[in-house]
Amino acid sequence: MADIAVDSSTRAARKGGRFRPSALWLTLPGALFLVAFLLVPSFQLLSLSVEDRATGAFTLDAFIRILNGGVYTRVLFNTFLIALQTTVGCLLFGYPLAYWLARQSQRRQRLTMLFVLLPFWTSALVKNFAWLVLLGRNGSVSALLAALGMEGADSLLFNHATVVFAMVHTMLPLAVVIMLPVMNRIDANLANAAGTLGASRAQAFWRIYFPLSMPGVAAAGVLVFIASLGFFITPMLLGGARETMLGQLIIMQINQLQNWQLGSAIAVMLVVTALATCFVYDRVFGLSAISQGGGGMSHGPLRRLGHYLAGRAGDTCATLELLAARLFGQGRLDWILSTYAWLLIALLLLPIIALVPMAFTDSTFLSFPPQQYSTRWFSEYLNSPLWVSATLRSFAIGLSTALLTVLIATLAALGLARTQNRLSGLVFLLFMAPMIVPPIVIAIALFYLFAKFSLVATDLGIVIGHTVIALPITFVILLATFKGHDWRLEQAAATLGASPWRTLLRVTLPLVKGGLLAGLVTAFLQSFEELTVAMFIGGGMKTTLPKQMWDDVLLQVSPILAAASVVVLLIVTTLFFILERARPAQR
Amino acid sequence: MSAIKGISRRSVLKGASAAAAGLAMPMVWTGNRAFGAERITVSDVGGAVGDAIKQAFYLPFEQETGIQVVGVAHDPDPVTQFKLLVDAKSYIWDVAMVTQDHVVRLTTPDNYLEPLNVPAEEAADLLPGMLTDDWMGFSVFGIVMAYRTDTMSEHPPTGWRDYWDSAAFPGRRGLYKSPWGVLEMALIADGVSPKALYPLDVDRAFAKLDEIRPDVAVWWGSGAQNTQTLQNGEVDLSDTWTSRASTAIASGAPVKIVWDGLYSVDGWSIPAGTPRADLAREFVRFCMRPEQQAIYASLSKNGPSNTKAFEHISPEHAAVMPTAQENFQRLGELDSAWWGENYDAMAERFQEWLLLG
Repeated sequence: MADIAVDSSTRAARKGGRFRPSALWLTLPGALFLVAFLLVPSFQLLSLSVEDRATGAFTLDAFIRILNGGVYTRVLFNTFLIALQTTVGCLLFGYPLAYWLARQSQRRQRLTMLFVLLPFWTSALVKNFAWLVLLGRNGSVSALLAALGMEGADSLLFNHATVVFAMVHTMLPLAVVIMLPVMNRIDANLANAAGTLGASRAQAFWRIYFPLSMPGVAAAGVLVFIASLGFFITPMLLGGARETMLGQLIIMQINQLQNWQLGSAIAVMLVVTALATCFVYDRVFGLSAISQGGGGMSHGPLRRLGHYLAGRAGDTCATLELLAARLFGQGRLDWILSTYAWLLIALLLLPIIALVPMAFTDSTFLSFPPQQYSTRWFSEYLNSPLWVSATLRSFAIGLSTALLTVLIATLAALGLARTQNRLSGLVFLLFMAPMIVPPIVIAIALFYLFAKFSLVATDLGIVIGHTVIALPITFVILLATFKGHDWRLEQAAATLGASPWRTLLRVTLPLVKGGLLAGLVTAFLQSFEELTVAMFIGGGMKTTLPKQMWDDVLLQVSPILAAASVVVLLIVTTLFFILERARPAQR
Repeated sequence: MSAIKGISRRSVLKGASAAAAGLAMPMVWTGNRAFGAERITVSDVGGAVGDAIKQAFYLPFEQETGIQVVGVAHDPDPVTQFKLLVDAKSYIWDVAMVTQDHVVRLTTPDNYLEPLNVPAEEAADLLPGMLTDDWMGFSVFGIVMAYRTDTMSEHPPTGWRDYWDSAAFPGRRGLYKSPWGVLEMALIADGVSPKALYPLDVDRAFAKLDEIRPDVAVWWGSGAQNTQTLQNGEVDLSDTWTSRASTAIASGAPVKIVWDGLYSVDGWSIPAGTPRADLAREFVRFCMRPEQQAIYASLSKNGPSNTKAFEHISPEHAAVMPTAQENFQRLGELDSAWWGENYDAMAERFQEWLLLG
């Protein structure tokens, strides 16, 4: 993602001269949409958090309660710690994988990426739930570890380490997806040049490659951190007594206790933390990659500190690697890297693959591997009005979301691709904004807003919420499509006498249809897997498939859940292959 | 909860009102059979209990009256949803399964319930307290203990005192991640009689909880997880709700219930103002019948509220129910009014104890 923005801005700048300020108007519908359904509700939440519940007077009580050192402070600290550990884990384990992927030939890379993207598009709920079974006291992993002589192998679940592990597992594909394009852009000749000038391979990597890949690492770090802040599924399913995160408290305050003041205050804390993180990251490592070059590099002292840190780390690692290379030999190191990459990929896929046999069990409860196989849970799924109607609703909502999102994003991307003025940076930021607000905050902010317009517990409400969430990624895909498009073709068609309508149908559409389809599928998938917004806006009355699965986890837990997960997997995989085919050829 | 005033809750709940027309069509399956016929929607807790309710009440009622009953599952805590649909006047439920502490929260400060208008003589066979103006209890469940017979066979625990004695009764323990019921269990373990718990001595309960804390391996958060951890042997002994332990037993897990603890009751209430209130009342009265309650109790292993129901229940089924004489005498009643008043404060203190203790 990050690379596309940078790439496109330079390209647009290069074209220079030929810009049409009027095209920026095309971003207006999307901008209005985001102001109405993201900015306004967010500020409303802020005002709720400082309003006394009884009198409506201004008060900072809720914030004092959060920061007074008691239970809320502890949860705030916990949340921050878990998110930080998750981020570090994702970068540490994800970086070598992304590096390995970047060194593959283009064909092989696309093929291997499938294995990373499948877990990326599989919902956190499904993956975490599978861990619950796999890592259980009598699960197969425990048995394996116990056989290997590990102590405490039978108590893998319900502790801090497991929560962080499962969260890293959930977020790692996201980190790789963000880091990879940046690495793909690094010119391999640079390493050769360094070699010619006498640098060892390790030095060339750590002093040249590593710093060049930093924008991707920084972007991945920020997005993983922010996504982790609002998490509630993993700590709820796999956490012990102490692993409570802010997201869970928001749900409890709003859904159970109807305390909007405290619930909003916690949400505000989440957003403030997210914004502060963006700011600090930008100062230290430079986030310009995400914000489209906005204003060029800053050269403050913090930034120099960032450079210094990266340089020192690089030197240290280079020395270490040199030692390792002496010990094992360079060829062996390559071999270690690719073994590592495949093992990590296998681990990413493990819970997803394990679900399939679980779904085909004959027993009334979930186990892995099952004793006897049958398809009874699939027929239960197909015969249950609850599950079928939830599935159908998810399809309808996903489709509507996809159409609405692509419509808004296409206009905006067209507008932004064909303009270059001071406002466009701001517009780009606005369209990226849903990414830096945790979904749970979007969900409750919209819940409050929608209650006033009778949109709670309506399908339309869920569609609007999903559109807000799906916009950034869809917009980035379409922006890349239109920026890559050569508009001189339209001019040529016009010169040859084609009417604008004909030009659109015969020239423009055929050229951008891959990007449009990719946008549609991406938006659909975002909606199809989304739980948080569906949970709040659905009001317990409009149940989507992920919500139905969540209810089942809380109410019943039968193998029907695994069967439904397999159905979801099938749908996601199918769409995902369509997406792969539709992806515009890489440049 | 009474502190929820001002614009926040009001506007949220009121807001959904105009949506009524739009969302009146609930998320249900509408077969051809329903065409033109009368129909009510009943929300229950889903899961295995939901299936039992369908067999015992929905289908027979439909057969007898021709009124179609559509069952839907609601959230574990349905109060927010309940208020939302009454304020919005979008009656997607005509009857809902609620506990007595839900009723407390649904009637103070504003009343969200429709009166049942059951004639007193019809309630003669019900256990005391099972029928109020706006609620009819039909499902008595125990908040008790269960253990795995395969791992605890040498020293089977007999009560909460044993749960707290991890030296004499070794085994992995599970406990509900909520103060509701757990505070009572701590007090019972400390020697308080189940019949003399209220008002709870909260400090004493938390002090007792401090003792067991290091031995609790699994803090379960939902009924489904409770069943699951007992089923797959994740825990050796745990607190449980009777129907949850029974589901594990029914699936073949070696689990046994220890009748030491509390009972509480699930029942039916009707959302105030539903246009199908009369049909809903007819349904609630149908659910008072001993024959129907017997079917429900046999399937769910929750106790019936109609004493006559036991005439239709086989002795071996009756023995595992909370309301069986032998079990019932060891159970105290959970005080819903106390919890309605203190839930918020207890929830926060419990959370604090979990995190900081």
